[in-house]
Amino acid sequence: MRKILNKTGFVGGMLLAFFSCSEFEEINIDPVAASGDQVQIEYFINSSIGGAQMDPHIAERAFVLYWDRVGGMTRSGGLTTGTANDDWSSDYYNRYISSWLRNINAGIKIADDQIEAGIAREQTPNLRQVARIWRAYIMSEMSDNFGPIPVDGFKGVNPEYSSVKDVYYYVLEELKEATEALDLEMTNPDDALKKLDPAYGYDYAQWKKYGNSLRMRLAMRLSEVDPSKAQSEFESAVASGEFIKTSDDNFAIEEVPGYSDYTGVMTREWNMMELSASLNNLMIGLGGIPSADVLSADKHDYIKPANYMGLKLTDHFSTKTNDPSAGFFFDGLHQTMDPRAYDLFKIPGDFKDPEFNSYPSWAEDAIITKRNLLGATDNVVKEIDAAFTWNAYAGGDWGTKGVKNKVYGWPGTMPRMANKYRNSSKDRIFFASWESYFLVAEAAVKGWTVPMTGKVAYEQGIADSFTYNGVSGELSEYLTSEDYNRVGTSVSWGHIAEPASTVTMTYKDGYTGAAGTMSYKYPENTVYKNGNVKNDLLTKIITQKFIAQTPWLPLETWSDHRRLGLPFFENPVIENPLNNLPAITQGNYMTNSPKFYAQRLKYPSNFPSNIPGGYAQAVEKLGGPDNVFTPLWWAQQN
Amino acid sequence: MTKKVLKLLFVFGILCTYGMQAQTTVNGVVVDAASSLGLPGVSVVVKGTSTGVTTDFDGNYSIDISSTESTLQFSYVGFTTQEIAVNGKSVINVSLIEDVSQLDEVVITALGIKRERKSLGYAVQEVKGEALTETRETNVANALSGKISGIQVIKGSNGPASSSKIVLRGNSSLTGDNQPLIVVDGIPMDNFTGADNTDFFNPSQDMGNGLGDLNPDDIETMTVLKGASAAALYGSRAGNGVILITTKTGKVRKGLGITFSATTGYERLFIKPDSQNSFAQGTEGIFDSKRKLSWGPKITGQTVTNWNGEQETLRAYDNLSSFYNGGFNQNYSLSFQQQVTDGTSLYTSANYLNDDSNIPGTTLERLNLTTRAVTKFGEDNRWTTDVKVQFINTKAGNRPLNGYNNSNAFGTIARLPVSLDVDQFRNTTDQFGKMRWFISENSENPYWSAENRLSTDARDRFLLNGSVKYDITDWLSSEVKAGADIYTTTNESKLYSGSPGNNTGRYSFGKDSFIEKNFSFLLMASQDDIIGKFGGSATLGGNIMGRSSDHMSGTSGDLVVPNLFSLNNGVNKPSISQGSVERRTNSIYGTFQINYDGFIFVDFTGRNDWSSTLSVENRSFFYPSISTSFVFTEMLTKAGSDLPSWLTFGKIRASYATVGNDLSPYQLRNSYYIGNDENGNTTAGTNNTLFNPDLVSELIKSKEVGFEGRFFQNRLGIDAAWYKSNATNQLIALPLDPLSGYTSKMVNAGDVQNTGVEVSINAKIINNEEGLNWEAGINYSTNKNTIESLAEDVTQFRLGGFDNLSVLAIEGGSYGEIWGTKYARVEDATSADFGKIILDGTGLPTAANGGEKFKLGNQQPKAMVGFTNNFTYKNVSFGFMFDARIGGEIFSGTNHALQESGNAAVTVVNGERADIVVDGVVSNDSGGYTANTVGVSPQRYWEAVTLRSGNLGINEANIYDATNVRLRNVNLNYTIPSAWLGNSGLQNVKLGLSANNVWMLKNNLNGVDAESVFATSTNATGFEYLSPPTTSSVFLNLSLSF
Repeated sequence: MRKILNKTGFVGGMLLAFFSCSEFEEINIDPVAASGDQVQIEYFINSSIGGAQMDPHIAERAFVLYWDRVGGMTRSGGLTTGTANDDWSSDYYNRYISSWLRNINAGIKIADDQIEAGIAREQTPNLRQVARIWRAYIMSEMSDNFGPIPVDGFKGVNPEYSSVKDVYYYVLEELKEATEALDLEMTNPDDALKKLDPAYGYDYAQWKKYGNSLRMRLAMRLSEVDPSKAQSEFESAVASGEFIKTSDDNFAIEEVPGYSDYTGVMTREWNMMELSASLNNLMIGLGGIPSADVLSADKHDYIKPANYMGLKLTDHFSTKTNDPSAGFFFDGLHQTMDPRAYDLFKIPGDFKDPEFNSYPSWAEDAIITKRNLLGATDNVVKEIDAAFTWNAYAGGDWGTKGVKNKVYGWPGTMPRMANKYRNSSKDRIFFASWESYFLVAEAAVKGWTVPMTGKVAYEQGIADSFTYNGVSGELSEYLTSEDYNRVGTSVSWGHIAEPASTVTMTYKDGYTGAAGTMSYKYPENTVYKNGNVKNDLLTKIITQKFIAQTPWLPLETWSDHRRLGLPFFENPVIENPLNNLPAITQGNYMTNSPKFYAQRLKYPSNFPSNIPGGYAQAVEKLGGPDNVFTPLWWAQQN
Repeated sequence: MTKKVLKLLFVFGILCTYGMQAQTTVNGVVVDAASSLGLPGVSVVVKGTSTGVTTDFDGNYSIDISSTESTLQFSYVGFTTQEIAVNGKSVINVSLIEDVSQLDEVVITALGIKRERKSLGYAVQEVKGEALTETRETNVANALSGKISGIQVIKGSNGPASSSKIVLRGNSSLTGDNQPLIVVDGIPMDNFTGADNTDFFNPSQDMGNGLGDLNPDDIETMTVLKGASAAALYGSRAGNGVILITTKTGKVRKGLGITFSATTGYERLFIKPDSQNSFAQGTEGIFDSKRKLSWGPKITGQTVTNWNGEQETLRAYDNLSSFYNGGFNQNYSLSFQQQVTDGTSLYTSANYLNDDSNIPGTTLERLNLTTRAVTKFGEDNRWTTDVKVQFINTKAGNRPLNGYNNSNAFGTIARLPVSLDVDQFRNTTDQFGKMRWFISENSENPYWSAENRLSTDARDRFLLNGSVKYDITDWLSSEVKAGADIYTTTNESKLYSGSPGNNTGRYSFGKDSFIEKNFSFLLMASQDDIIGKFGGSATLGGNIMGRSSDHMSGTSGDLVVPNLFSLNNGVNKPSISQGSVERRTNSIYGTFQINYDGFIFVDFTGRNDWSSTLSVENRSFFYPSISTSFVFTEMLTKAGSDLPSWLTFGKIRASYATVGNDLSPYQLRNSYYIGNDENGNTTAGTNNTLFNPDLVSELIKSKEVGFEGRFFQNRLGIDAAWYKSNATNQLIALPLDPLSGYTSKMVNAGDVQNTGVEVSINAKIINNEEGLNWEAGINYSTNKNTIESLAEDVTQFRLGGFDNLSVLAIEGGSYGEIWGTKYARVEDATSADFGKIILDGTGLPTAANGGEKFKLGNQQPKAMVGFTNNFTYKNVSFGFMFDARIGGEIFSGTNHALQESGNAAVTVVNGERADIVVDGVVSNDSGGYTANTVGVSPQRYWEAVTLRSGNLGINEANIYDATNVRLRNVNLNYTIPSAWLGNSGLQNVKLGLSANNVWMLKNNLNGVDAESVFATSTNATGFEYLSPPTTSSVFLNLSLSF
């Protein structure tokens, strides 16, 4: 027995030795993780800027399907009819923009820790200022989409939410401090560091200009709600004269083909990127440049006379919208057109143009231009060849007219964005010189202290935009034009005469071929000065800014519209009630209201479930229900 | 720790009161004739003397006799006593036959220890191998459904290699998979389950579950240890119970011992969503060949121009039936099972399964090879070695993709306009190699996908174990065991060019390897009548578990050279992901049981784990349990009382146990990752989860009482249990606001309580050995799961869902509540219109409170019932099983999708789509309501229901009672009378027919099976969205034994 016990005891002892836990510490260390002393702030800056460039997944959702549509650049749909997609919003909020912010904050923290520990490199303080400027941008992007966000987040605890006002005050102060703190004498030690800044290669002078321009943009955002703050911040930012003034200063990041963070934001082939009715109405006739001057001779035959509306086809083209072009199909090219239109968008059927985009490459949607209008029994009422025509349509629910109309929804029948903007061959512009000038022009109109006159700034903005679109040759003629576009706005700074309330136009009955004349009425943009003013300086500036910002800055055009009600955005068609935009009814679709436009994105659906306290606080700071129609603090209110 | 070990050793000391004697010896093994398992505790007595011994845990005995002319008497409760004359033999092996009038059976308990069932103080239920194989389920997990009370098998519907989730006694953890530990022949087996990513839009493929790799034919028994008490010895991994699988060993067989079995199966859709078949493609009542909607004109045989520009006569098609056109399954098995020499028994088997499922392109192949040898040798056969090698090779092709995306074939077809014939797209590409399909955007021809969106995953897996056992004395034995579960899975996916969104193709390749090694020892002592009528047994064991896994995968992104599937043929440089995880757990455990006169039993167990994943301070944790069993009938009998004639056996039991779970590796310290962007420049980022060095192990506390009774000479048996378990200190990745810097943080929190009742009733209704026999059984269980508390200042935890629809765990509420938007209704109870739906001015319903979320239901079933029946008549047996899930709700996204697309049967009433005047009210200007009179077209109505208040519409509209009752299985087996076989060399010929998912008696989801949940790997099983429909199958089996 004793023997057995001894043996057992021996075995037990052996096992105890065998059971040693001494390796456990080592086992529980992740072999591929980095520790805090193995990372540098510039790695995080690079991550954050690269992330915000948007990989195709989030670019399609946030940039194309939300901003492009609601910003009025491409054909209306989705959010413009009140329908937000929780999956897209959740991705953007939870997985993307919060990680760009997380990374930039982690970088700042690493820098702070190094500075505190006395182990920072010479350039670390400057990198820290760069990171703060960049953080300010992302915070503004996030707030402009959702509203209240925390200004004191990223501390490992659920943050307090701040009102949009507090967010703006915070980022304006950050931009002020960071731009002032940048040491422009600093030179970087080597090229390796420069590669970790895809925007400016850590050229600190450029970062300072960007910081100031961004401060001007965000200050102007407060022009309606908090004019004195807007003015003081704007004047302070512009005073140094160090803002983005030339295309060399632009904050722009080179796109790379394939599928990565740096892939173009508009590369997904199933996004048709058709011209919006809003933009089209701004460009038709604006600047008085004849299409014949811009287009090659082979297309001149398609150009229609001035004051022509096209084919009237009201059985198929709904008029239940305040789009002034509604009800017509324009069976050719317009007599005069903003020349940038033909650079940005390509004429249907113009396959010889190397910039003609035929996405999706797996289908023939873009190269079929002949489509039918049908009758009640599926019979063909009229065949329409949309080659060398120029049309854009309001979104919404076209009801039975839409079902019988095989033209209006067909990609091959509409101008669509040019190849070069879609194939990862450009730089994605986050801030361009024209925006600085249009901001200065707007400030000048408001009477703020700025370093140049409004006219100079306005015309320089247009000039920079014309250069970008390669149409500088038309500039001088354009700047003096007093022609009205379809919404009653002209180009010339000096020409602020309002258009007559109606103008006589010719058209053809699309079904009978009979010629007719009509009294064309300019739309009443009732969200801007009750619809009575169509051609004041501010309308001109925002019109020009809108066209110049196309296609890179739809978030800004959305924000300008939310802030000012400019330019004119048509209401969606309501042949049937819109399930997610019940405010528009058969009785009110000829007027505009902030209630008819998406004002923000709804917070992601897991936010109220996961963080009920933070959500309640965010909604309280929002000051209205968490839906897409609650205006942000700085926007026009209902 | 040393103290604990010494304590246990002391127990051995107490037990060591018997010495050894040496004379002429007879030895052998006593087995249960039915199962061939050794019977412990069989009394072996030299007839007419007081000399006697009992068999050990494996049924071995060794008895010293004075005369070779003696007769040995083998007796054991529940079995017919046998007497065998020694006649000079030194080895006598005995098969005892169960006496139907007797009661006791032996079951396998934790650590593989065989115990008399009557002595157990907790619930154990066993399923024999034959019962598992008679349903012919490819995945053995499915075979458990309905056979065990308290078990819920959530069967994925993703084809033959789909995962199935097993939940015992409800969900206890807020995170994790809530599944029991699987132990095969004493060695844990990784039962990974389902998809890694259960995102609504782009979920990853359901990769099956680890248990599905097993060949059901190799299984001798499956023992389900339901509660924590039963499982406590497995410590930190057994929080959700344990399923012990014992594979076959060699045993004495007549003839050669070779069995060949062939099974062929045919599979088809079980039920299909109810679809309308009278309205064509289009919208607003007008035909449109380019729409994905069925709101077109009524189909009257009119001629239309189809998507391809051809004239076509309109008619309706059953696209689901033509796409899911039947699957074919073949399974061949060859096994050898024999006692090859006196000392050595051998089981070897080879099994090949090929399932060409009814989902086009989806396949499963599985090869299983097993060898298990048990050898007894040495003096008195005191040594035993048991070595098993199982090799499994599985290869699954084109596992279906779910979710709201174009690659979900079922989603595409279910929503396909009913007048569009999917058959015309079987020819998948045009002359330019591009996909043929009726629209060009956001949709994919499912036949094209089956041929051109290819994925395979192949796994080589070894399950190994070897043990050496030595019987030190007749009451003390020792065992050393080593085993491993080793597998490598290779994944490859190829997208060919020609699809929307991709012109050149895409490629990815990855390898995952996993290894878990276990080394253990066990000392076992047992002795009856130590002091008077007190007996006892004790065990002491230890285990070292090491687990590591490595992951490496690469994706090419879009290819440069089309259809050249190489990682380096990408437009961008390949993106590589890498990971490696390792952990160790050391454990010491022991049990101590005392019994009095074989009718009162008290068991103590204790286990201490040391886990590498926790900090030094929290690494060691101890879990004790106590259980007791009181066989009152035996007490009465022993006290000399007579039992009433109707009562055969009665026992009550009670137990209390604690077990727990530890953490995943690498979750104590925060760190960064380093990456590389597209331009080749360095990036860095932080973890998503905020780690916490102070985490401790989870603690599950469980109480159970039960009753077991048998009546009328064992013809009726009842086993009932009540339990309550509280899972506390749960390791939860609590969601954080992503603007905190993390998306979640690890905390110890929560108290999830499960209380439930389980009842099993078995009856031999007709018992006629020569004629007809009828056995019936009912398994009933009900479980109530409540959330006693969550983390500080957290009142709800989201388990899953999408958009407004959430499945939540709510503090003070229960696990799996379904929350979402509901109809605006008149809430004023005093109003005459109380409860009526409030419509807007256009006659359409709206969501209450502008889309606020309300509780709409709960995913937990109120009860689960299985009802089995088996009839035997001579050589024929016939069985069937009904399986019912009663109560609980589910959100049906499939119904939502079909309503939205105009395919749902409810969108047509009496063959027409007349305007709907919704039975509701409209608020008038004076604060009251007037009845609605405005009619709306069905398209308007269903658009409002399915689109308002969120992407899943007004959620209430598609909440259904998940109750369903089905005839789960019918099987018929025939054994050819042995007389017919003559001298053919055949020992046994069996024919079998089995059908699964035979008949849906009740289901409330309009043709959507409530079992086709969105994903098995989430705990939000009350959410269903366009998963492939469940299937029914018929199998024919022929088995020949030589």
